[in-house]
Amino acid sequence: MSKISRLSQCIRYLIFFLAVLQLLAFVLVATLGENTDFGQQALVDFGLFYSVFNIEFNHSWQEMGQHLKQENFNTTLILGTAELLPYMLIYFFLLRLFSYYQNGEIFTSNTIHCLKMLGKTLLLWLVINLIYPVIVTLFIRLTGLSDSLPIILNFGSTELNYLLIGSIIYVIAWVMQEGLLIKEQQELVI
Amino acid sequence: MAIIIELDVMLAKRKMKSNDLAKAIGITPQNLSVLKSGRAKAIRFSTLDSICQALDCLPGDILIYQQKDGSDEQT
Repeated sequence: MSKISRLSQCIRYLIFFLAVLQLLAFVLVATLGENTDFGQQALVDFGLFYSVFNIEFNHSWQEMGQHLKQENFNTTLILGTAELLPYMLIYFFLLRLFSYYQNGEIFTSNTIHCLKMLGKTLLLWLVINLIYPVIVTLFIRLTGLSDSLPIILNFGSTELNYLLIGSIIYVIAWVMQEGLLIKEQQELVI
Repeated sequence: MAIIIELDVMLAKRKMKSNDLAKAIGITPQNLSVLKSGRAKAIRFSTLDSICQALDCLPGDILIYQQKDGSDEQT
């Protein structure tokens, strides 16, 4: 158990670091970023070395990003924000999950809830991936900001991955919940 | 629940304490409390056998079937 606790603590720190790094990169790119072929990037020069932070839309949103760039819209703010939200939700639920593991809660209703929410977030990501570009285009067209932005509806391997992984995580959580129920019932057999 | 456990009555008749019964039948006082309060989902034959042996009674003395209209019927 102590091994699980220690490992969970390390993973929690790692997840927290990744979340902060991603948030920092987003803020830097959103404020200082310049357009590239696949998204935006920010260059931070420290003299002796420099760091490059970039946000790339190289999956199903790539085409949408290019069209937005052609119309002089800020792709990071429009598409990056929508992409950041599911990431932050996933980091949040992972942090909670590993916090429970760290405290010795392995098969409890709390951990099952976290796993279910992770699965739901991935499925939500699939929905966002599918409909968000359409909503953005419709909004831009209806507000008269641009008339030439095409309506793009994508469904590819990225969306299939979200669907598959989200479903698998949700089903695993479901099976764990049934197991927990059996365990609780078994405890009430005297 | 239709099946009622009347362990308290039998314990009082035999002038035995719950802790002593728990010790005699080899279960924890917490589990005996679960059984007495009716929260138990099931009872093992081995546990029932031990209880009957310790209290010198029949299963029907501690397990009562109550019909929905409220009248008791011993099993």
